[in-house]
Amino acid sequence: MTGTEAEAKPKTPKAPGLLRGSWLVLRKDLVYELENRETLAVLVVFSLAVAFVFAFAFDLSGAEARRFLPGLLWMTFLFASVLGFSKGAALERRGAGYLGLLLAPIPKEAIFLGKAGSAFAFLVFTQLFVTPLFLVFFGVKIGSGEFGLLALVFLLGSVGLVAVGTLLAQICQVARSGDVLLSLGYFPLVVPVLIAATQLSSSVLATTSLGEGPWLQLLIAFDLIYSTAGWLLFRYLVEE
Amino acid sequence: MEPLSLAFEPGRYLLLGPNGAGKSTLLKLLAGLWRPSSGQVLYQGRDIHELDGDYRRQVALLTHELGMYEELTGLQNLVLFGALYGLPRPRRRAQELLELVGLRFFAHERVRAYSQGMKQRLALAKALLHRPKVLLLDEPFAGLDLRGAELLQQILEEAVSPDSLLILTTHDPERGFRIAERFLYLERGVLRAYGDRTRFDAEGIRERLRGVRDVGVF
Repeated sequence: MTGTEAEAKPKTPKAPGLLRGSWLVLRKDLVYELENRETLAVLVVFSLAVAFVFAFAFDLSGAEARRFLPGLLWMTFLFASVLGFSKGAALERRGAGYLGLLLAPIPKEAIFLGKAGSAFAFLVFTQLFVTPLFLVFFGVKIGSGEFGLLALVFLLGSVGLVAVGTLLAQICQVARSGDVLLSLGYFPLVVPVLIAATQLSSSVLATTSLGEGPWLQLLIAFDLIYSTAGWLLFRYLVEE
Repeated sequence: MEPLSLAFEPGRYLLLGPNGAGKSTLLKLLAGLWRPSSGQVLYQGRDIHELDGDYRRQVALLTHELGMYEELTGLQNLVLFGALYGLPRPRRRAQELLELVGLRFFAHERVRAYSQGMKQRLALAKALLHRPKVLLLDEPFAGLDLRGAELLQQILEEAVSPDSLLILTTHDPERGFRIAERFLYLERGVLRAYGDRTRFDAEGIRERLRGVRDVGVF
C-alpha cells in the first residue's frame, strides 16, 4: 500500500478501554441529568417530604434523636436509591439505549461500572442533601470526627446498594420486566448492607467511633461480594 | 434456531422468511449480541466472543429498536456512540452522517420529537458511524416513507464497500433485491434455500412467503 492509499483509507478506530468506556457511560447519564434534572428533582422532593414527615411524626431530640436518626437516614437512602435506579432504567429503556451500549465495542464491564458510577453519584448527592436536613430537623450537631466516620460509613453502604441495584436494573432491562423485579430483588438483598450501615452510623453518633462489633467487616465483606458478583455476572447476563 | 452452518463472503445478502423464522435471532447472534447455546460464530476464523470489542468495532446492527437515547438530541447521540466506537473526531463524523441521512436541520432536536422515519434514518446514521465491515439490518425499510426508502437504498449503495458484508431482512423481496445480490430463506429456524435471484425465482420463494403469510393470517 502506498503512502497516499494509507492516508486515504480511514484508520480503524481504537475502541475505548474499561476506564474510558465507563467514563463515557457515566458522562452520558450526568449530561442528561444536568440538562433535564429529572432524577435530581425527584430525589430532592422525595427527600424533603420524608424529612418533614419524620421530623413531625417523631418529635425527637437529644440522645433519642441520635438513636433514631441512623435508621431514618438509611431508610431514606434506600428508597431514594430505588427511585434513582428506576429513573436510570427508564432512561435506558426509552429508545433502547442500552442496546446501543451492548453493541458498542467497549468492555461489557464498562457499562456496569459506568451505570454504577452514575447511581453512586446520585446516591451521594441524596446523602449530601438529606443528611444536613435531618440533622437540622432533629437538632443533632456533629463534630468533624463524627462527620468523617459517617462519610466513611455512607460511602461503604452506598457501594453495596449501588452494586446490587445496578445489577438488578440490568436484569430488568434484559428480562424486560419493568421495575417490579428491581424492587422485589433489591430489598431482601440489601438488608445485610442496611443493617451493618445503620449499626455503624448509630455507633458513630453514640460513641464517635465505629464500635467493636463485626459491622464494619460485615459491610466491607458484603460490598466486596456484591461488587464482585455484579462485575462477574453482568457480562453473563447480557450475553446469555 | 435449528443447527445451522453458514459461511458468508463479503457481499449483500437478503435474509427472508416468515415471522418467527429466526431472522432477527440470526442477526443478533451474528452481531454478537447473544451467545449461541451451542456452536460458534466465527469472524475471519476466530470466535466473535473471543474477539469481543475488536469484533463489535467492525459490526453494526440496526433493529426495530432504536438503540439510542430518546432524551438526547440526534447529534448528542451520534457523538456519544462515535466516542464509544473510539472515533477520533466523533462530532465531525456525526455531522457528516446527519447531513447524509438528511437530518442536519434536526441535529439539535431531541430524538423523542422525531417521527418514526426520522428515527429510522438516525439509526442508519448510527449504524454507519464507524464504517462497519459487517452491516446487519433488520427490516430497515420499516417506518420509512417512499423518499426515505429510496434514500436508504442510495446510502447503502454508496456507503457499503465491496469488501463489506451486508445482510438485511425484509418482507419485501423486490425492494431487497435492489440492494442485495443473494438471498437466504429461513423457515422455523431452518435454512430452506439460498442462492441468487434466479434461484429465488426457481425455488418459488415469493410464493412460499405468501403462502406462509396466508396460513398465518387465516
